Amino acid sequence: MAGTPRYRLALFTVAFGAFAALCTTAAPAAIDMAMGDKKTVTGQTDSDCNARAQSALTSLLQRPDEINPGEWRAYAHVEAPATPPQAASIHCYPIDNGYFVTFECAVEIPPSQMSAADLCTKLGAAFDAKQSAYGTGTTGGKK
Amino acid sequence: MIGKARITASVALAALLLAVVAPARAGVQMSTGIRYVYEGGSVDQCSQKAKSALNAYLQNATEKSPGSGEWLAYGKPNGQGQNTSAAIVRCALAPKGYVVTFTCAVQQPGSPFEADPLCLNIAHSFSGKTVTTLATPTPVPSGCSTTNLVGTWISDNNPKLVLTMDTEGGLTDPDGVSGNWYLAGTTVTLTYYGNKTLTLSADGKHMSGSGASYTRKC
Repeated sequence: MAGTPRYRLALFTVAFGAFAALCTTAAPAAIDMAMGDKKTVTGQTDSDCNARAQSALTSLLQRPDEINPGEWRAYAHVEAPATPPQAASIHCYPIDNGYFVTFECAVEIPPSQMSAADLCTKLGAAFDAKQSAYGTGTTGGKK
Repeated sequence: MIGKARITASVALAALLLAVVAPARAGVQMSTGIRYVYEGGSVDQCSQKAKSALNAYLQNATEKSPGSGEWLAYGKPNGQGQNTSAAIVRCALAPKGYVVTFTCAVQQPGSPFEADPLCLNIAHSFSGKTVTTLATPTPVPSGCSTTNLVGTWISDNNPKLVLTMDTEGGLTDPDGVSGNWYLAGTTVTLTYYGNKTLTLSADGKHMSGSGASYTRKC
């Protein structure tokens, strides 16, 4: 009896149904927010910061919006009606001989498998990786 | 031939299960763009105001590292113990004083308020401008309301089948299978192993239709 095709099929159907139900039961989601390290860049202008900010956000999320001058925000790209599980902002602020820049990240866990801290770390690295069009500036972390 | 039909039916049933019980996922809503520049003052002064402003709307504001002037706070956890809101206030030295930025994030749906008003109120609290009261979590309705289906429903055909319906239009059965409810007037749409249309009674205590019948605990 246990080895008959009919029994196996019934067992498969029940097991798959239970699996489907288990997989689609919503786990409680929570907001995770983090701030990346503040960077100070000397010998560069606002334009450099803005270009790097756009590039970094685009590479990790999608093309950002400039909310105010020097204030950039982007969400993860998702197809409607889904809602984005990740978002980040970059703030550029001019100082006497350059600028400083800050990174803020927020994710929804689940479904995001990346923490907000990880997203901000990657964002900072992507910002550094974008070479300035105006030459080499000194980039360093400043907590 | 019959075997193939059974397999097809099994696969179709499993696919249907996946389609109808998949719940809507929450997403992140982020607010940024408020920035104040102060001529005069120190980062320490900024920090004091940042901590106070964050704690006015969220709780347990913590500084990233002592003296950094960078503050993060989360909102009070919801009924499931999860955070649905958070904000960051960052103070930094500027040529003639300091600059402070405000960034907020909330879960939607889930948070009782949106990210923009949260950030605006934290910023206004920081600067001493007029603040408003943010929405607080809506208490779970009690009784047999005719305007929602929130509560516990027991199948009249199977007392072990108990559906728990929440304020966000979700439902769950004892096996953990989830679905959704929607009420328009007295017409109920249940998405639970397919779509079913039922009618809510005038007292809000019974609903029946599509071969199903439920009674609400009041």
